[in-house]
Amino acid sequence: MKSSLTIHKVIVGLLVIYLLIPLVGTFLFSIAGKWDHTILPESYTMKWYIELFQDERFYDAFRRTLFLIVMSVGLSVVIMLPTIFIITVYFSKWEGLLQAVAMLPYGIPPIVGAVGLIKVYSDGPIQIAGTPWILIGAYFITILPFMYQGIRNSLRTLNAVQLVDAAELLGATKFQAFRTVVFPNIISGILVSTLLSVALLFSEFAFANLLVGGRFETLQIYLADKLNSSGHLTSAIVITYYSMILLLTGTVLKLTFRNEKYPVVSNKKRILSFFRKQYSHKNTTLEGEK
Amino acid sequence: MSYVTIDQVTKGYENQVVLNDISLVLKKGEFATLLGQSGCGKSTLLRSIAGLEDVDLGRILIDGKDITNLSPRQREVGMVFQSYALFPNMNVFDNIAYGLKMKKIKNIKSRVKKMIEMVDLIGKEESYPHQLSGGQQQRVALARALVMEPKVLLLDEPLSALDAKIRKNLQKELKRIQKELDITTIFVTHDQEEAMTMSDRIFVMNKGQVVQSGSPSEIYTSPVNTFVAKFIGNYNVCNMEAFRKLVRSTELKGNEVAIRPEVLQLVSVGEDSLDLQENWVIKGIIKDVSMTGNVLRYEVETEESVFLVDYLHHRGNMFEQGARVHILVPKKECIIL
Amino acid sequence: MRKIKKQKIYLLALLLPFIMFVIGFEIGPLVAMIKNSFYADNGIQVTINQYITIFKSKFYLQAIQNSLVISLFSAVVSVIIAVIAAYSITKFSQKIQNRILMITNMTSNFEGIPLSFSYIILLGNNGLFTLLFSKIGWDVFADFNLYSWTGLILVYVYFQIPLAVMLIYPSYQGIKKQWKEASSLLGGSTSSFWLHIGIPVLLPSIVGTFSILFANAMGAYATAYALVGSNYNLLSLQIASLVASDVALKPQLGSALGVLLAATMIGAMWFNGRMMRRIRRDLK
Repeated sequence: MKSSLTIHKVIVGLLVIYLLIPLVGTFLFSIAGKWDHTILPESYTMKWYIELFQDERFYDAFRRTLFLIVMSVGLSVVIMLPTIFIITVYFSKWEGLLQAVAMLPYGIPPIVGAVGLIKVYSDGPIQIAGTPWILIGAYFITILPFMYQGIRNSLRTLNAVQLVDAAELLGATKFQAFRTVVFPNIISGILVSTLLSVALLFSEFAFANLLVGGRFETLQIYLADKLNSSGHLTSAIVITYYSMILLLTGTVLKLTFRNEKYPVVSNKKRILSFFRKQYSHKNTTLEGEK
Repeated sequence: MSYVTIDQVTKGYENQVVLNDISLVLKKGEFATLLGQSGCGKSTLLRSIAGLEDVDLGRILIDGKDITNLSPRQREVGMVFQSYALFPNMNVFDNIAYGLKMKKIKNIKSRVKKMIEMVDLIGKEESYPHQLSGGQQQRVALARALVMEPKVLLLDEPLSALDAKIRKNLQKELKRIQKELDITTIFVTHDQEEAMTMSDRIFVMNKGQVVQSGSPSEIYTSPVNTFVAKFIGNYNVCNMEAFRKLVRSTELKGNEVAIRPEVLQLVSVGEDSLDLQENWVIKGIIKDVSMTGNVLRYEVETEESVFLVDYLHHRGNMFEQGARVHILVPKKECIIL
Repeated sequence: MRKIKKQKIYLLALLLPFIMFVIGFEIGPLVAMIKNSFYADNGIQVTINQYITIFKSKFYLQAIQNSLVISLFSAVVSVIIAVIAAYSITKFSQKIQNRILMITNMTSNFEGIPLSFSYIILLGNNGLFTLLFSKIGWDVFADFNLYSWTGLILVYVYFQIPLAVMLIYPSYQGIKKQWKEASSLLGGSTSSFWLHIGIPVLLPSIVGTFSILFANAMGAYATAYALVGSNYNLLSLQIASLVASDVALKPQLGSALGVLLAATMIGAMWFNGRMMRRIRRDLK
């Protein structure tokens, strides 16, 4: 038994090293002074970070990205919450349609989505190609599957339909029922999908580059533009950017760890677990009855 | 004297009829049970009374007022759900006080306190639903409905998620509270035993219709058709032609005969004290004996079909498997269907 | 009755913003793309020439082939590595398992531009390791060119592995210890357990993971864009340059390629569903 554990240690060790090397390398590079013929840098410096944080362009790009994220995620919460609630509670026969519409963007990569968006919005009545507004729309659709799943699962776990029934029988209006009984109980679930959406949009490049490009420079566009300048500075950007992502996903991890056996942080993983649930629906109900 | 009136209510989904022209009337303070298998429409009827489902046709009246088109919040009915539907973000006190707050009723505190005493949950006011046992959650759900002083209390299989012992206790308590408040109650269950112990009146439902209504003993002793006979007791239901052959008689009419297992008697072949005036006699062989605590159940094979015979469990009436017996069937206990 | 209807109309009104967004940014553009792919370059004549052009052009067929090959290859490699690695992970204590998963989780967010950049500074022409190794005298990387097919594969595999591990790992949890015990009690060996029970149970998740990885690579744009720019002929890069570059815009042709790409992805998902049903009849 012991010797076989060694093999597993080696395999997992290699995997972890392989995964971490680019990150560690980039990090070292971002704080390295002179580094060209040794395993580790000869000297360390913070000057790349100082330089970065003095760059107005970086702040501007950051601000633009933040604007896009707040707008599209905010819109998504405000629109999706009542939509999913109304459809699950009052128009349950449309649930299938809603699900199809909400999951579709997952099957369409941004590169395909962009083709149609450019076509629709570069001429005709609404010419918003090249402006941030088209990005907000595109991002709304990008995060649709994750927001949908997060909200719908929260409502399901809560058994929202029955709680609303109970509240109405006790004299609450529909709006009161939603505000006092449903909303407080799904906040944490929504928070998770919100943070995931934020992380997803932080790293969005395809739409930003194809639809707007340099006309509204986001963090990712800025980064792509800096690719050919000083490597150290770019490393500092990458590390700064990645720390933000880690902060976001770290929060998500903490939130999910509280309720689940293993954390589901990746968006894509959520999607697969969704498909799996669809397939093994009968299995899970059987297990539940045990 | 009708307090609740269901008047020719019909409801269907797409091409399936769920409630088929149902009419029934309840008196004030009555404990009525809708009894039937799952899918018979009993829960739909209950939800229609609550206003959680629309009906296609017909009227529902409570205390003389037509509530058919009112929203749930205007109907003044209370409901307890099978899965309790307690609000997870509120503690026991707030759950019970919820309705009073929504209706802006005064002296919430004293009313909630009284209710907590009634359902025996003193000391649990600050607990959240997930900290309570199933039985305690059910009490909170009951208190939450009762504190509104509803005209009618609706109970949708409220005890089916609980284990047998707690269930028995809650049955008694529910009945006690119901009598104490003299509240008109409609109870939905698929468990005939539960229906028998709790109800003043039972409505047996099948395929969206009420097939029989009456007091528990009426329903039990004189089922109107095969369905009720089989569903309510473990009636022996026998095809009439076969039964005529078994008892060698031609004077019986009807399609089927239903006989309760506990009215049958077994006599060893050879004993001659057979009262042929009062009883039919059928020859048979004991196929199997099973025991459920205080009841011995014999499966007796006859020429035409297998009869179940129930005996209270004491030494005097033991028969071996394979024993040849006569079944005595009291003529007046045969229910012709 | 009328009252209830009125309320429903009011509720329906609340759905309007959602419907507008979906039509405006999801369904509308998709329909526009499909429609546009059936127009000539001038945007007036209806024709299927765009598709004919693609299937007659060595260049675009090459792009499709390259995308397919790199997606298949990176998906297969990542799935194999993930199946092995995830199994090894299950051998550790729960605490360590969680740590390792956390690392895969973290690194799964490292993709696109930052990832390509990281590889450039490490293995690019003037990359850290490239220089380091040539100084130390190792010539493993002497012939290595990051901005090529191999470089692209390396980076694609990197961003696919964490995802694959996270997708496959939970299905090992589905293999219950009792099954192994039951199998050995019935006289089965370890290998026969994996052959008859373990692998069949894992298979749906392997197939599912494979198609997700495949689709993931087919649609990948940022990584390739940052790494090889337009030096390498990939479907996603060609679409981008046809609809949004500074020179030679051909939106109709781009639309046709977009339709083909979308069709491949839908095909992958469809295949996933079919396989899932065929392999695991017990699930349906």
